[in-house]
Amino acid sequence: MDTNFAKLHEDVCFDRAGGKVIWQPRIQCWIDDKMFDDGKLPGRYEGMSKVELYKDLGCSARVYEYNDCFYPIFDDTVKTWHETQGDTTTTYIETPIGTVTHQSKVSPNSWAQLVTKEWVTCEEELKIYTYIEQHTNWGFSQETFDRVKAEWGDLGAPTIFMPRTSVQRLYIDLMGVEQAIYAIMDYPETVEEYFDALRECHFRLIDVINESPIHIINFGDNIHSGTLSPSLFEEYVLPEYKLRCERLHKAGKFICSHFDGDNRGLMEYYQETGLDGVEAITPVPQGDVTLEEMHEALGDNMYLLDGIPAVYFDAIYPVEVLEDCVRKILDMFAPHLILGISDEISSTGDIERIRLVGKMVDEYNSKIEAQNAGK
Amino acid sequence: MSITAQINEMLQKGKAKDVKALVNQALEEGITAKEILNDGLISGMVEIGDKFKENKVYVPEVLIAARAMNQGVAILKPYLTKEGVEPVGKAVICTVKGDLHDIGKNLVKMMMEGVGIECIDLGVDADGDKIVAAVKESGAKVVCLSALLTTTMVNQGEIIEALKAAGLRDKVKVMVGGAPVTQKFADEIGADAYTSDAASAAEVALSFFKN
Repeated sequence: MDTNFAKLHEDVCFDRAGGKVIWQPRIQCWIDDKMFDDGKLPGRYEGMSKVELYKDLGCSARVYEYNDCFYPIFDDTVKTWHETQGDTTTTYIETPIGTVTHQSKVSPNSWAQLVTKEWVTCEEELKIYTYIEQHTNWGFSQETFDRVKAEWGDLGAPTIFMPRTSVQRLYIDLMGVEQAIYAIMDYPETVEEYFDALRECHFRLIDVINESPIHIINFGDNIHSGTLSPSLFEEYVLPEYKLRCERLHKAGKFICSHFDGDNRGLMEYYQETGLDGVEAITPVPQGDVTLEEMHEALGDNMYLLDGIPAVYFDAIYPVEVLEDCVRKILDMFAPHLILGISDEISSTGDIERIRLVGKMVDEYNSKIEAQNAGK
Repeated sequence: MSITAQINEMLQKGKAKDVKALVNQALEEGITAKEILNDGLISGMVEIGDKFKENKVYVPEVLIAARAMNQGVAILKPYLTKEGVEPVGKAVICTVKGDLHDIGKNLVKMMMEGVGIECIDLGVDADGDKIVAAVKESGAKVVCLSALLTTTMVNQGEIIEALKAAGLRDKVKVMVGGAPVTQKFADEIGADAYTSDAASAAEVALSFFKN
């Protein structure tokens, strides 16, 4: 079947697909680990690019390569550079009120970088970062958009994830979870001033996004209710989501956020967020919630993006378990479903199972088409 | 409310300054360091651990409680030494080779310290050689191995093999945990215990020292 997946992707998001769904597995970890381990992809996939791999697997991609279309522009008072010594890279951002640094080290065991010094380790550094957010604007590169579109073609609709919100920004990008929690406890006013600056910075980005031809927007927050407790979510994240969604919806965007950790403590908030969907909720046995609980929390109108636990692609689970899960997800969440893996196939996973799920989704869509034709 | 009960309460709220002040006050009132530790600090951490298991509190609340605990213990340390109070036991803890995730490991460490276990923290990306060396040097009786990835959990098994090869396997109890780890997997690699959360890990470790 020669499907225009980009069109189907947007049609599903905007309720124009007549009940059909789309299968969008993410495979970056699988590629990275294989390449790190062996310098090449295994078997018949050797030498294939990511685009070629998706074409070979016959499924759609969530093309986050469009992220590169948006770039930060610091004003003249902010300067950035980096130095590499041995296996350690230090990045500097200099402002009139001080300089912040970030240090990372190459790991011998994967391509992941080990952070040896976070951007922000104290209140003074957070104030410098507040200045940086206040002096950051955003640009859009049509040239990059055209290049990505030419490369990925119809494999998936243009999609991006926005920089992380408030607490998640501190946790993942600037401080690490522990220091961020202590910061919120020890100097809340400075933290809140930072959140204000970050919000305004992201509003400037939203203005650029709203003028762009990219209509599917993800808040790439990587939320885990274990670390982002309900009280922190309610105080610092929920209000940000509402404000962002209000602005993006005015431009007709489809909005989701990435909740790829535990979800139980935050499910009650899904429908309050203003989001159209939630990405990467991971059901049991890998996550902490059942498909039934996910369905109840999302309601009939919100979309599930992904939903199949990644471990079901590993040999430790029989294929029948994966098939049952896919049937159940289709039954419960379609048509508000962008089926995928929560949140990626592992390098220990069997890539051939991606074809199996693709076949099931094709059969489902054919059945829907036949039903629609018979109406 | 007794002063140890106040310490317990402030600890659970993560109010480190109040905990420090109350610990000092308790010492001035002649309460033994051991009593302050057990009835104020440890009892507070045990309660936080129970609430954590029941999803009544989350990582942020545990972290700030643990920090308050550590600050209270720091004041008590010289007094505990004078009173001859020893840690319950020693444990080596790490995230295994290839894995850079440390939140789960840090939580287990905090909960274990919260019940009086001294932890030798080897950080992340730790291999068998490093763990064997740490066990030999510290005489730890428990080894806790964390892994967040399906690709790195197998290294928990390799570390158990390294302990065997070094002749240490019978001298230590090996505990494993992390998102993809299951009881079945723990059994397959020959671990002594698997726990699904940090508070349970501390309870099981404590039971190893008491038995």
